[in-house]
Amino acid sequence: MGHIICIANLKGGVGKTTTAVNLSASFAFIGKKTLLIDCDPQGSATTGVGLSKKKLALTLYDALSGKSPIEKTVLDTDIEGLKVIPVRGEFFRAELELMSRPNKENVLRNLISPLRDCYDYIILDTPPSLGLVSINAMTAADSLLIPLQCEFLAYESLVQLLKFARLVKKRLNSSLLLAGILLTMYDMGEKTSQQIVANARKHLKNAVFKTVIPRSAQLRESSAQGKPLLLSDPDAVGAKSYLELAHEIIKRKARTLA
Amino acid sequence: MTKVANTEVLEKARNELLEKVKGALEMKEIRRILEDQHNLEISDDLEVHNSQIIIHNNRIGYKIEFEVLLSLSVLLDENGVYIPPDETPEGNIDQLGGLAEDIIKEM
Ligand SMILES: Nc1ncnc2c1ncn2[C@@H]1O[C@H](COP(=O)(O)OP(=O)(O)OP(=O)(O)O)[C@@H](O)[C@H]1O
Ligand SMILES: [Mg+2]
Repeated sequence: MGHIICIANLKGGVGKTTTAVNLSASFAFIGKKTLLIDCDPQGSATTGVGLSKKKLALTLYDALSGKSPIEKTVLDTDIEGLKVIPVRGEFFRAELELMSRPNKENVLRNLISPLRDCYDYIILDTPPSLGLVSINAMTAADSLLIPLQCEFLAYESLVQLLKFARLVKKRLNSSLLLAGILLTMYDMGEKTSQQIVANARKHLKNAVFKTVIPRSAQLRESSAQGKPLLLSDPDAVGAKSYLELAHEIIKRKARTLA
Repeated sequence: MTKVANTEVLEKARNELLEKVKGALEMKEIRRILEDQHNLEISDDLEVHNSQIIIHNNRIGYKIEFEVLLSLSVLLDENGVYIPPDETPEGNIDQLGGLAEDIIKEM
């Protein structure tokens, strides 16, 4: 049965989507059947894997509102083994529409459960907010991956998100685990980056991934170009670090199952 | 001065009314409101300290005062010199890191 990872942080621009796209591509590269589900109406993961929002026929919104079976919203990407369920702006409405649904926190979980057996990994990219969509994503997930920018201010939202996740675990999804906290946008020459890494290792210990994602212009450019970096430059440090993360997650998972 | 009612009876009725009002209070909500209003965490039970019938915007209202036990602390070093709270970014992330650590342990 596929493992569902929710990528979340209440703060915007911390590398959620970059992580969702490049980690998904890395899983696929390693040979894991992977599905990336874009749950953010901004649709950056959708464009991040090279899809044009204008050309989309069916999206996650159609599945959520019952207009299409979920299977029909799954699209191929340029990467073998990586599929995607796209979104576009109309998904903004999902937030409101979910409100009036019975069992409103479990809609996404029920929706994607038939897809579970078809994939090794299902990655959910979420918006930077605490709305019902994010709650649905956390409720649907087996584990939570939190990107943490190497900046002082990032810690505040980490604590907030952890408190929120603890609540989701208590009330909605008792099997939710912390996949890990991922340090991103690390700058070797910057004192702040070093302090954040040292502090995270001291306090958060094993909850922090060993892999650290460096600040990289190539990663930034690849998301603008709509191509996971692994496709355009597999030797780039940014591409390699996400590949390393994929291996680390696979190892961790094997360890928890053992 | 012409008295038209017994003062003691009026007083007793007023006290009984206030007791009923106190009994009807949703203490959980009140605690939340007070915590939000004053940005604090109340560790102990709330106790009513005083209550009054008042006129608020030309209508009858009730003013309930609470007594709250707060524990506050001040740091000082061996020489008795005051140590201000650590508000440097480094100190701040250390505190937040500790908080995150506690939550992770619970998960
Ligand atoms: N490791 C990195 N090095 C350099 N730039 C990065 C890195 N990771 C992400 N970025 C850039 O930072 C910006 C924000 O990243 P991203 O879109 O992944 O964040 P997000 O958390 O998904 O944002 P939002 O909350 O808006 O969805 C983007 O321009 C992205 O290209
Ligand atoms: Mg994003």
